Amino acid sequence: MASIIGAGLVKVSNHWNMSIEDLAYEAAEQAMKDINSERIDAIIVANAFSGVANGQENLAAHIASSLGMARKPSFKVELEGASGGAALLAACSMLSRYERILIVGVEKLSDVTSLEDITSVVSSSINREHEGILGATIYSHHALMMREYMRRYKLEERDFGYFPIMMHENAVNVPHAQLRFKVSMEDYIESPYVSTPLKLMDVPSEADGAAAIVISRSDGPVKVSGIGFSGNEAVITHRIDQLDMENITAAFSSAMREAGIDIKDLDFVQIHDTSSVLAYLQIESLGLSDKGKAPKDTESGKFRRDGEIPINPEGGMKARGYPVGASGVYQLAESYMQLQGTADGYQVQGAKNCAVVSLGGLASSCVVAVLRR
Amino acid sequence: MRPDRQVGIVGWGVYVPMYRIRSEELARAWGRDWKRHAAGIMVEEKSVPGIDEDTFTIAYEAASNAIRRARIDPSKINAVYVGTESKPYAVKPTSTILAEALGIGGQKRATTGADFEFACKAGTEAMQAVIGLVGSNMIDYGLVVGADTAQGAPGDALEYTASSGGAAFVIGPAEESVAIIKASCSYVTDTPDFWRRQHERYPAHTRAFTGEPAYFHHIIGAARMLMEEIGTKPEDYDYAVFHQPNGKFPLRVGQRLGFPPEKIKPGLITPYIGNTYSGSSLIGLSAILDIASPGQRILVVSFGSGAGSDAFHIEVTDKVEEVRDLAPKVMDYVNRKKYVDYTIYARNRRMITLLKDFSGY
Repeated sequence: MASIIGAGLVKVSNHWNMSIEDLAYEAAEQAMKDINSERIDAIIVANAFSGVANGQENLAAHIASSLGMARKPSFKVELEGASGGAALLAACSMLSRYERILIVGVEKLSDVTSLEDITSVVSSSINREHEGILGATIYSHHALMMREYMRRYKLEERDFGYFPIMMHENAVNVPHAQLRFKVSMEDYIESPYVSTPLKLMDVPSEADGAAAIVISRSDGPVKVSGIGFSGNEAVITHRIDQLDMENITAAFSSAMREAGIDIKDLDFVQIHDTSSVLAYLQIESLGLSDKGKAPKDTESGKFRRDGEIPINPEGGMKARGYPVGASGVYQLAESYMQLQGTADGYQVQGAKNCAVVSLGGLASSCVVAVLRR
Repeated sequence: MRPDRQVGIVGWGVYVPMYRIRSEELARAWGRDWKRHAAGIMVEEKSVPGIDEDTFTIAYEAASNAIRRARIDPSKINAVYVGTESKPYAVKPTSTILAEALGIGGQKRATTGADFEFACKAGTEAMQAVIGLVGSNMIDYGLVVGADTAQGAPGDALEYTASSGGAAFVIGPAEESVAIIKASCSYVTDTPDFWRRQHERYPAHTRAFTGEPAYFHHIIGAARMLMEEIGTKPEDYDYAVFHQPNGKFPLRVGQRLGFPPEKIKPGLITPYIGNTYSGSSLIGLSAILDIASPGQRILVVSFGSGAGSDAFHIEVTDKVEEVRDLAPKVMDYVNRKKYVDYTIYARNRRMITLLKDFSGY
């Protein structure tokens, strides 16, 4: 059984004056503040774009060195947005060999200075040969899914506003969140298109950040009770149904089965909301809403922090911010704080159990972790 | 910094080309909805130079107005410095054309002359140099110009703001001044927020990086440095002029320094004509001199990418009212306008490349 025994995170922002190593160092130091670094046996770095965005590969070795742990085994896990979830799976699987493992998630996108370059970097998760070459971007893919979702369930653009409005509301008092302000439906409707009908307010803004957790073989305050991993056809045009997120359902079921709890036992869920439509598809795939009903349920307040089943109490990728490869580790660090009752500004009262969904690409990879107090 | 001999502004003048293009029209050309896309920057329209206007012609008009208000013979001026990032020649000074055209330095052309480059603060940097020359008694009068026909790449966010215009000042002894420059300071760091390399037509910039670590950091740094040095507070000033790359930043930086909008808005001209780069903060200062009363105090802080800020503490004298009407005011130029569409804009800005250039170039 794996436990989380420490967590740290850096404010999601444009950290102009910090390097990718500086960010990783700060989060790791926080996570290890009560743990002697000599007792850490291995380091896993979760990151998506250090090669293309920072010109830095061999990243784990550099981060381990800057932490004074050059002699410990270290490597990087890359699975785009799911890098953090995949790092957790790797760490838990390695506990038979190492007693304590540090996971550091880090992403620094502000080193990329032009808008064209940033779109190219974040779109490197789609297939270059089959999709990128035709001019597709990660945003145009989200837009295609949104269009199909609207058509299938007869929805309007405003139906997609409910989710970002809720995320911004949740993030207002979160100290480490990137966008700590409320937005209205009017703001949403007036926000410019990124790729019609996808709006600027449907997607996160690029950011820098780092989060870290320490995983232990022995008993700790927060237990990793279940992990599920399931993939999907990575090229979306190869999928029979564009809105098929069955793999999320599969990963979630297997994690819940391993944890031995029921969906009713969950006190909150963290999802990977890199667009409003992807958020809705996850909500439905997790069984929290019927197909096509996630917008209505979101509007009703069911998923608010004080609702029936809170989703992303910290503001999600949309408002807490989306440091891509680090995002999964942020979720785990935040959930750790939630279950400890120290999530100041975003605490779900009395939270005992939660599920964390970490996605890579357009759900081509899905890692679900169930954490329990 | 304070010179040995007190110096001030003896005359001021501006010039803004008469053509305007609406931001809405710029957005239309690129298939964008202006309200959704860029209304937040608070620039409704910007000035566009005529096909035969450039930084020199703008500088000439502004300097002529400044000399009219200074009521001195141009032959008594012994320094002419033009601050710009859109020189008509890459190598050949604009200042020498200006000296010749205005008769500066008399028959002997006994004048120093140079072009200054420091992105949007080249004009105030030139002012610092002339304060030094007059303040050390090397010369009695010097001419400072900040003027630009700023470049914004077609379709780039800069296209909404990069505009044309300029301001000129005759700097001389405090006794003859309409406004005394009591103190100044400058602050620079190596900050690559915006640049244009040799032979490139349009500048590059680093998106959000141009805000916090560039504009705000340097303006706040220089303003606080000056106020600390001379022991003043925001309440001691009647007006504040900050570099105005758009309509939003000056109000926001003012708020952070403790200047209410009513002290900033009289000198906030960018919403009507765009960002005239080297002319920007100096046109703002001119707009204040157009209306200020004797005894009033003005804080001026420029910003130039690359990056740095110059801050000036200026006190208006009773001479201001005697000369105010001797030349057109900022608002006269703002209100003198003729709208053009994107086609004419593209032609006037020479964005359309012809196989053979029929314009005479």
